[in-house]
Amino acid sequence: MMRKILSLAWLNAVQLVRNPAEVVGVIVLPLALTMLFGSAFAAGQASDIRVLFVDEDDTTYSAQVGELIDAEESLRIEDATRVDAETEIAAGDAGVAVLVPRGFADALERGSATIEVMRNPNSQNGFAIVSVVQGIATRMSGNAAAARVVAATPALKADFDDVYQTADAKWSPRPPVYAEASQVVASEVRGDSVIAEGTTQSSIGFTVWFILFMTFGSAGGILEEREQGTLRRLMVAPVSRTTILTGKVVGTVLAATVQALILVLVGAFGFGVPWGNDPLAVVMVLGAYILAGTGLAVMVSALVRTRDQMSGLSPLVSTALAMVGGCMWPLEIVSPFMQTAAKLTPTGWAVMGLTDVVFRNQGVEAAMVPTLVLLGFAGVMLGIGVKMLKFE
Amino acid sequence: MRNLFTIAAKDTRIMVRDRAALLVMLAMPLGLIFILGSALGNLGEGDSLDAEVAIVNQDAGETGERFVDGLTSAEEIDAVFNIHVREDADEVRTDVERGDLTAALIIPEDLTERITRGEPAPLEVLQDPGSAVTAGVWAAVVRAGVAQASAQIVAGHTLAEALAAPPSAGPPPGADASGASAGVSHGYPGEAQELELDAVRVTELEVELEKQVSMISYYAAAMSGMFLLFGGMFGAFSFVRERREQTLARMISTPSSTAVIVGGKALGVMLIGALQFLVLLVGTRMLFQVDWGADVLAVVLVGFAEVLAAAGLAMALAALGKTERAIGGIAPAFIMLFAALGGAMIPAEQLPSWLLPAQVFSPVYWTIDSFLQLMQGGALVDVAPNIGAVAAIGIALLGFGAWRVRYE
Repeated sequence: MMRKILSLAWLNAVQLVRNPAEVVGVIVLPLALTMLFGSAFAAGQASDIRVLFVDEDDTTYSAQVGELIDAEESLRIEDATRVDAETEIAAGDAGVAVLVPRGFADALERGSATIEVMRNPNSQNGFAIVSVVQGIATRMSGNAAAARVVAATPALKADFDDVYQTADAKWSPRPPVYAEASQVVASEVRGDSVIAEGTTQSSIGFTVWFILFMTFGSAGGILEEREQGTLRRLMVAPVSRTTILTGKVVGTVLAATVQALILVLVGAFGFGVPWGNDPLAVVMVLGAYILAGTGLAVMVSALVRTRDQMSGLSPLVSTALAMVGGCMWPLEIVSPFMQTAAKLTPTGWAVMGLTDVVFRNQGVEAAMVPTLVLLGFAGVMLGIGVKMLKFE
Repeated sequence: MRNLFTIAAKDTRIMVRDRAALLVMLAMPLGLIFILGSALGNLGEGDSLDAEVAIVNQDAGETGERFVDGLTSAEEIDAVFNIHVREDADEVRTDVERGDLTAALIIPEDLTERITRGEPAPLEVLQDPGSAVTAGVWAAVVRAGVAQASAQIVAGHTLAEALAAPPSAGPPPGADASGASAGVSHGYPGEAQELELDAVRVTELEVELEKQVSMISYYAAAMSGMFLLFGGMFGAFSFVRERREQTLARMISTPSSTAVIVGGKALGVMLIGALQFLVLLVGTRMLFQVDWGADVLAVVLVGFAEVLAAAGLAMALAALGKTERAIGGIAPAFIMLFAALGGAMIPAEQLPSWLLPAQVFSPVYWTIDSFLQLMQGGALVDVAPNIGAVAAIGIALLGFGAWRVRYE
């Protein structure tokens, strides 16, 4: 019986390899998308956030505002006029503009300067950028406060600009109080670990998403065989229905395992994703997920009539599950309702499990619950699929 | 010409008869628009992240206490974060490692002491790598708080030095850097004697925004751009099936030219696409109140151009793939790359800049851009170049398909 199962699984592999386009679709595409989305979500690493900067005062002080924004990690200023800034913000082409009005330097000396901010309420980064500008205003206010007191004391014969510069120099190289932010991973308890790069979210997401393409494509082969009549021929051979189905499931699991292995290895060595933090935990979550993905594909195969329907449905179902499960963007940014919805999908549990294991380096213990839930998904869906699948 | 319409009508009839496939093509996009609108709808609306963060104050002096008060009493911060004041730094670190907390602020035990000594004092912000976006916002909030403290200290020290020094000279060696001799405070946030740090204020200007496109409207435009192309995949299936079942060969043996056959098949895809677009348009309007704009003709023409691109894609796919299975592999790859490039998954401006020139090859990009312009009040004249670009891509794909496709 084992030999028959393996022969059927092998047949599945041959069918797959005969379709290089499919292989390219399930391996090259996720890697390309990992690269694209990795850059988009690599906070502060690849694409700095554009801040429009309008300098109407054209003085050392107004320029300092721009310099300090530009020096901020992940922000990049782009010079603009007031009119351009208004137009871009109004149209939603830019999120935030910072404007230093004419007379800023004089007003600073008098203690009543203003930095103006225009913000599009739909901008995701508005809050963070305004915080940065507020910090800059505070710094300049502190410098100016001291400079004004000193300059106003005739006995000291000091110039506002000089005292301001003396005060400002105290912010370098380190201000008196500063915040050091760092991502923490469980390195002390779990040995070496690598801080995850921006591509990690994408690598996890697209691996999870495209495993579904593979299981759908592979399990859908059974519909092709049914349409071509080869399944009927197989039925007259001394092979039980259970053996045929087991062979198909094993073939699908093997194909998805090879695909996952390639995606993980390229992610690890090509994009520096810390997939290797705890291989056993990764194997547990991904293995259970592949079984769940196979179960889902067999179930959908049982619900549709033709291979065409399966091919049409597969990108739609897998894309919907990928979106809900957090494969395309981090679950932390979606609404609480959708965070709960993610827990109803196998993709969601795979992403949550892999986030714990790969991002947070939490090891086997953290992989247990997602693995068990995914195995539950696999059992239920495979059960429904096997029961409902028609061979003729 | 009659033959062309006969072939188109036949293909449309076959497709419409397959109720399940039709349901998938029509209902799934609406489902996905709903998912996307619900998933991402709260972004930017008040920045309400509701993230769990903690503060551990280990400072033996008073400064830490003032930091905690400053952060926990600000309404704007409270709207974004649920702040827990905790005692055990190790426990908090473990919670951040596990992702139970998004981020934390650890105030060191020697904070006040260091400030008094005039040494730079670091505060530690711990961030969960699995929640980089929210944790980054927390770091920005903490940085704004420390800027306040630093500004007070810098001002205090500068004053102390200036007042202690002889005119026009640097501070004498051993000058009291703490500011105590100058009668100014140490500059901790909230301290009674602190300097007024209001020489520079930040004011927000009201901008009269153009008509805003809600998240669900954005994704209605995006998903329409993407899903209309999926019609092309079904068209390619139909072509390949007819090739396999030899009905295509039979058609070739009739007096109909290959141009008529290709044209008829393409028209069939377009008719189904038009139906799909109609359902998307009416469905999103009725179910999700998506406002597609006042220029209905322009909206229809943009949809028509995208449907033409889908027909072109159908023929190109039929030329590239020998079997349904092969097309089932290539088509999603093409469509999703077009969609990703065009901004159907994440807004196009978030893509890396080196990739932006490639967007011109994506019909999804031109389509989404057109729909968004129309939703914001644009008219046909604004989107005419985009319609031209999508139609050109469609014709190019159709030309490639007609040139390379095999009929037997």
